[in-house]
Amino acid sequence: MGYYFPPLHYTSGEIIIDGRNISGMDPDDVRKSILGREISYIPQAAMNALNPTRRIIHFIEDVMHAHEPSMSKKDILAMATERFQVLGLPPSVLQKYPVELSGGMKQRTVIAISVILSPKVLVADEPSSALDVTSQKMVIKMLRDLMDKGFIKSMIFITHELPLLYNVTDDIAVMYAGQIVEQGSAKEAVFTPLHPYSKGLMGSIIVPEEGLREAKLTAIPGVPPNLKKPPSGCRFAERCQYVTPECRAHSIDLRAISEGRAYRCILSEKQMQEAKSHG
Amino acid sequence: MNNTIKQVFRSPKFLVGFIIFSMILLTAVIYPVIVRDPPLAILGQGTFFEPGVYVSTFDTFQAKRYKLDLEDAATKRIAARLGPQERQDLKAWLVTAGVPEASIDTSDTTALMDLWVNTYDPAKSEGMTSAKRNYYERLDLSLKGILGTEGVIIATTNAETGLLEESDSFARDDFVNLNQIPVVRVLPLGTDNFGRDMLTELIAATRTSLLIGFVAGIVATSIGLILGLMAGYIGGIVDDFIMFVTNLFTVIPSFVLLILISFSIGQESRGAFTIAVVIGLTSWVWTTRAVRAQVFSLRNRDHVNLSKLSGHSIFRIMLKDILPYIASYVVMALILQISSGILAEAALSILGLGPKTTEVPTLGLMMNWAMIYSAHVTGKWWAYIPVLVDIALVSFSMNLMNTGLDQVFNPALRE
Amino acid sequence: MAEESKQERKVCLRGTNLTKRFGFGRSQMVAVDHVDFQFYESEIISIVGESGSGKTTLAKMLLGLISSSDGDIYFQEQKRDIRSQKKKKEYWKNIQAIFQDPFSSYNTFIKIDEVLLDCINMRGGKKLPHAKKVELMTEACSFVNLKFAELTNKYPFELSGGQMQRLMIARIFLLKPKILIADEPTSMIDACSRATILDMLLALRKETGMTLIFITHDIGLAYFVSDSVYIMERGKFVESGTADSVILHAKEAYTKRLINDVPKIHEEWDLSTV
Repeated sequence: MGYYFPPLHYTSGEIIIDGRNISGMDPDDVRKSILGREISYIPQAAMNALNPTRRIIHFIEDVMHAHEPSMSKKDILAMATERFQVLGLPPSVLQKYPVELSGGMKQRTVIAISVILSPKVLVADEPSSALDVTSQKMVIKMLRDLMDKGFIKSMIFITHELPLLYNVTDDIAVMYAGQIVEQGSAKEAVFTPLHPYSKGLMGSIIVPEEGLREAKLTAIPGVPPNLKKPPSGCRFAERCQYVTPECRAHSIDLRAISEGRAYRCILSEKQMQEAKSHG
Repeated sequence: MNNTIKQVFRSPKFLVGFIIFSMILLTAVIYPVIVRDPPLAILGQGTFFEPGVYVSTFDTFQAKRYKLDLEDAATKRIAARLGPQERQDLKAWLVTAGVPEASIDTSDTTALMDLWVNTYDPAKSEGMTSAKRNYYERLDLSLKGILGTEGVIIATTNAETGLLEESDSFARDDFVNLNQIPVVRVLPLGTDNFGRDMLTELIAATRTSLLIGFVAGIVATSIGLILGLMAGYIGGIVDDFIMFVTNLFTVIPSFVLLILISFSIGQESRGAFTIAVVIGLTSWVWTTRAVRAQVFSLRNRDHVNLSKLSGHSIFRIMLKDILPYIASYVVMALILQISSGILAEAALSILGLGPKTTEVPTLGLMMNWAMIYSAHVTGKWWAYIPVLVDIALVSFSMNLMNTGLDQVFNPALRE
Repeated sequence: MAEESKQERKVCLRGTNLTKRFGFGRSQMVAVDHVDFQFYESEIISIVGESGSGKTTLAKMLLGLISSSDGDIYFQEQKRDIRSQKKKKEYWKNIQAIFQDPFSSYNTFIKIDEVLLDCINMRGGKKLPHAKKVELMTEACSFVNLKFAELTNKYPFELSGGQMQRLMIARIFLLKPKILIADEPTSMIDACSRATILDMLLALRKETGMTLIFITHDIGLAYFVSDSVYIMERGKFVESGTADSVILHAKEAYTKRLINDVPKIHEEWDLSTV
């Protein structure tokens, strides 16, 4: 997000939001003009981010004061009330303290606050992992509403819950040990995975559907490599069932096979699909 | 564990506090090894000698003499005789005698003396009270005495005739080498009202006070820790009972309790150790409450549940599954307890309820003596300022260490 | 499985009228509200409910970590008696647990060796020669695909979440209890490790024939692993039965909603129902 706290340091690369490069910008400028307006972030335990001694409306006032100092408290309340109604949150929440809200409600409140300035991009990092299925569904519904009603233009959803991802996103990028190993539409990534790691992931899906009980879950043996000294060859080689000596020789590039579809493996597309049939 | 210690020492606050504290502690340990005088030995026949180097007058007579021709010797002697008050008096006389005020510079000793010697005439002191006139004459005489050139004669009584005979004489340019004088006593902080060496006494007092603080801290923290662990972990009736007692002690101001207990023990049986234990016994309350609150939040953690499921006894769970998690907190509480123990002793002793005065000095007792002998009224700063600074440094360094530890262990305070 | 075969099997854990109340007077809250159940030997049971439905409280009561306000628990048809520390210890030889968050399940200050040695000691192996103990620990670790030689003298926090949870299973392997309660054992770890953990738990059950009780909010997981499913809503069991009957032919609205709330892959996920 163009904003680095130690021990995080900027080494190289660029982050471009809507044609504007934000990497290397002055942290103060990033905070004032980028965060909240261009890009916003919801961490996993966002619901714990609320100071228990303040009412919800105060957090919104804080955000608005930082970005729109001219706005009066009355206007902020009116704006927040309207926004909460649109997003299906009861406006009475605004006058409550965080402890009076349930976990799911808190999480949705934090999301509503973090998009109050209608950022272009929302980064949601496991926004529903700490919640039970019902609250999770409400959070997902809200995120979809945000997109449908145009409050945010794009969303980056970070999770290890594949069924969830499949139902929320258009495109999926699978990451392993600090690299993107596969890219594609949600459908392609879930039903015809090309990278051995993605295959493993897809094989571990559990959903309450008929036929699940007979299915065999795939487990990927081993642990991810230590990124302090990443392996020189393919980073997945140690755990891969299709590994060849060539894999360990040199690093593998991300291969684009069609528009928006790419994977990082030396096996061909055809080999991978065949492997699936008897793997 | 090692990592935590490294982290602690990377905190600048802790480090500064630790260095100050270690220096005080080292001084308190090493000084008595080098200077073996008993701290309560009475040296001075009188009260409150100023800080300085004390040279035996007798020895200076015996010592080998050297002639040194120092030009400014006279000026220095005059400067020592002419304090700020005397200079103002000289000026006042000169002004009444008609010297223009602007031409008098009281800071230039030579010019002032010249002006004085040239202008002064007892006859011009008209209109002054006789006391004032006499004062100026005496002042003039003593200044002239300094300006003179003759030496001093030492006379001894002849045992046979009973007459004084000159045995020795000093010239003004006679010097002795301080190194050749066998008996010299340095009193960097002077003496107290009983004529004891303040520095030796202060260091011994620091040691006793630290010991008192340490014993009080250990006593208070142990009681607080044990009660807090029991109340927090066992809960139920045990918790209710311990909290009842704790609340009782919370309501009674502990200092009042401390005063009452100290008073009832009686002056004779109040040793430093007794006082330390009494301080500890009256200040465990908040440690208990804090430990209990911490244990409360820990006792339902999964690792405690797992330990129970492994069949461990309550005692072992408290010792191995709870105590390590609150250890940093307890260490912090201990540091604060030590520092407040030292302050409590000082406060008690100032009220005259401290340890009995014949055995060991404590910081509080030294304050008490300075106060009883009105050191603060008569301007004998060396009798109480060093003690104050010492107390302040000890508690400052401990609080600094505590704040540093807090920053390391409490993520909410990390910058 | 058929009803008649159930009749033949022995009841391992039975609860009647089990209730837990917290607080007094007006602020009183009934976390578990008069529940009845029968868990059979070697059965896999899932207790499914939202957060706050009382499933974790029920699990803690079964484990004997908290007392019940009302009702009785029968272990192997004997009324459970855990009034003294000694009896508790005896009971805990038979019932063990795996908790949700592996990161908080271990005492950070105790080495892995000691965690495993505790289990050997609990099984009465205190006087075994050291070599034999190491052999047992190595066996347990290799069961969960860990190498004891690499773990010895290490602290739990040096492991990944998945490894910690596997070590938990190694612990159970050593203890070989009659009943294992797994409280959301996979919800804090990533999808790949989840399959590994489940595989290991199922393999362990096959080997020891223990009763496995899953506590979860993930009805998909419940369907995948269990023989019987109990659906819990606000402290009560609203529906129970075999996994197929409960999940594929749910009768209660609550069960249907829980199933609905899980994101699907092959079916449309209906977001309009929240």
